[in-house]
Amino acid sequence: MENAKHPVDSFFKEALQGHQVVPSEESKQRFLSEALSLESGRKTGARRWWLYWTALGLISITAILLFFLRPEPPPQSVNTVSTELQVTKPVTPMNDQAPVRQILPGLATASTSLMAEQSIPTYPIPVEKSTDSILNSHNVADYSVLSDQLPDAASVNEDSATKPAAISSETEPVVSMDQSQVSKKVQNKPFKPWHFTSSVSYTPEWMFNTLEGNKYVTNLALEGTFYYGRYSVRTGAGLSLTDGTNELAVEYNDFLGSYKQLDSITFQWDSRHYYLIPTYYLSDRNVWDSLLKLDYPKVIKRYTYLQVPLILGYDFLQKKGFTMGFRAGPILSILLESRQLSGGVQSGPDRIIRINQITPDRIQTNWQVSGSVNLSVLLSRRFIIEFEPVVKYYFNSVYEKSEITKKPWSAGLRTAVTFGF
Amino acid sequence: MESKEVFQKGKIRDYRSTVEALYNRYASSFLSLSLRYCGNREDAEDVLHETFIKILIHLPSFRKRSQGSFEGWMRRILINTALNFIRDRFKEMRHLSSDNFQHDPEESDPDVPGSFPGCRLPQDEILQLIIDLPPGYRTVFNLYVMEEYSHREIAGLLHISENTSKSQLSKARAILRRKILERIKEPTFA
Repeated sequence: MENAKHPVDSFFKEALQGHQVVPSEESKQRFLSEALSLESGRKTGARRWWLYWTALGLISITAILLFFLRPEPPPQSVNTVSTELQVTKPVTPMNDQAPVRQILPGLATASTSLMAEQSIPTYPIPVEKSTDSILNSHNVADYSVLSDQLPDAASVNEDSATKPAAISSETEPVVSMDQSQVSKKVQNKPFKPWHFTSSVSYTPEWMFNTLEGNKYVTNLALEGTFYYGRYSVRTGAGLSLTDGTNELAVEYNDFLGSYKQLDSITFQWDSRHYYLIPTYYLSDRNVWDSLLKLDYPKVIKRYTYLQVPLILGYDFLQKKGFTMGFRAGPILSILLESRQLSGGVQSGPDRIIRINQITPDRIQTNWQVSGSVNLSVLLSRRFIIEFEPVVKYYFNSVYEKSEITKKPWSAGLRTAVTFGF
Repeated sequence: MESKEVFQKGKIRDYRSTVEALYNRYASSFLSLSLRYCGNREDAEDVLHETFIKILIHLPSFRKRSQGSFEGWMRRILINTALNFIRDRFKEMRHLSSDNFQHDPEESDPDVPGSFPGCRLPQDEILQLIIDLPPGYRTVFNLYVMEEYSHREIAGLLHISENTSKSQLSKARAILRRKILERIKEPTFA
């Protein structure tokens, strides 16, 4: 071994073998407290992630339930079928029994074929009376309302084909007229390849690769989206809020105390001109240690950014109740405000010599690019709920001294309630 | 106690006592090592602190690898932390990068170095001899002699040339040798 040849080398190596220097108790306690905070931070982080995943799971389950339990859209031929059924169906004894079945729910059946095959018990209830009761309790308005609502028309018309045929002779003109109006509405409605939506969105975001570790960022936005077929363009304005810890290095001299300095003395004769009475003019003088000390206080600030996105989208899947698509585009962030929440330099009577900012300030403007997969679930005719896992890459550092920091990236989940025009 | 085993998954009962045990076991020897690099106790304790925090943070990555000596792994972290500290702190390291290092004949290593019979200096005093070296000499001497790095490895770590590393070592040896001989001549250690 070349390293062990030289006598100086061997002398020092042997002499310092097993040498130990016991660290100070203060140093040990400092390490132990930091180690414990590190561990508690880990636990909190793990718990937070567990909560996020649970929330995400609940949102996903809700979305799936909403998708599968949504009302079925009407079949294409619904208007023709329903009209035929109502107009052509004659009033039969079977239909006379239908009101009885309505009055006695336990005997209700679901299909016309079943009614035809089974022997149905009759009850000594006058048909006219039962018809009236149905008209009163079941009311005609139901049918007119239902006929206005296109998605429910099929089920209503199927029911009307089986159950209330007895009253159809009375309600037929009304129903027929409404159905024809609906048909005309449907036929006359022009097809629009484009439409516009506006949305309110909330995006929790976790930013990585910053000087302060992982950062939590809250984004709120008002956005408008223009759709043309499968393509979309989204823009708007949003606020992005995040807290940051700024570390400072403060050089100061300790305050040692103060004394009264004699500035001047004046003498005056007393009233008898016998004594000279002195008057002392004193001023307070503070004394500071000449030793320069260093302290590292931390300041917590809240930064508010204005965000302007321009997100392009393409829906690769368009189903009756939901759509899925890709979204990507740039986002411009402009720092609106930085507000100090807590901390700061509290020197007391100590004399501050110099304050250096260790953590650099946040940058005024930065650009990000965002990529996401969008899932839009139709809640009603006008309202849509959107879930969008988002990944962002920051083109420049979020700090002013970009040479000592890296470019961050972030992951988040955008949730939005959208109103379609 | 095998420290690695203490940190094995499922064996940690009390985090604080485990961390404290780890610290108690290695802090003294690591502080000695740190002191050799940093030159003063305050900086050495800072480096030691940072090292132990890094050890705790990166412990899962060591577990995954599950190879090599745990102490060796911790020692490497300490040396890297100390070198980073020295790089940040001492501007002299920049001067080391000069390839045109002038070899001072007065400080150079003698051809026949001899040995130091009967020299029984206390460990703290010997450590002080190293600490008193200029930072560049000290770093190269520590890496070459104590950690047994080659000049090529030292050159890579410190971003200097191999010749510079050799020159620094030679000067460090000469200074140390002279100081030891001075001490030997003193009546206390004669």
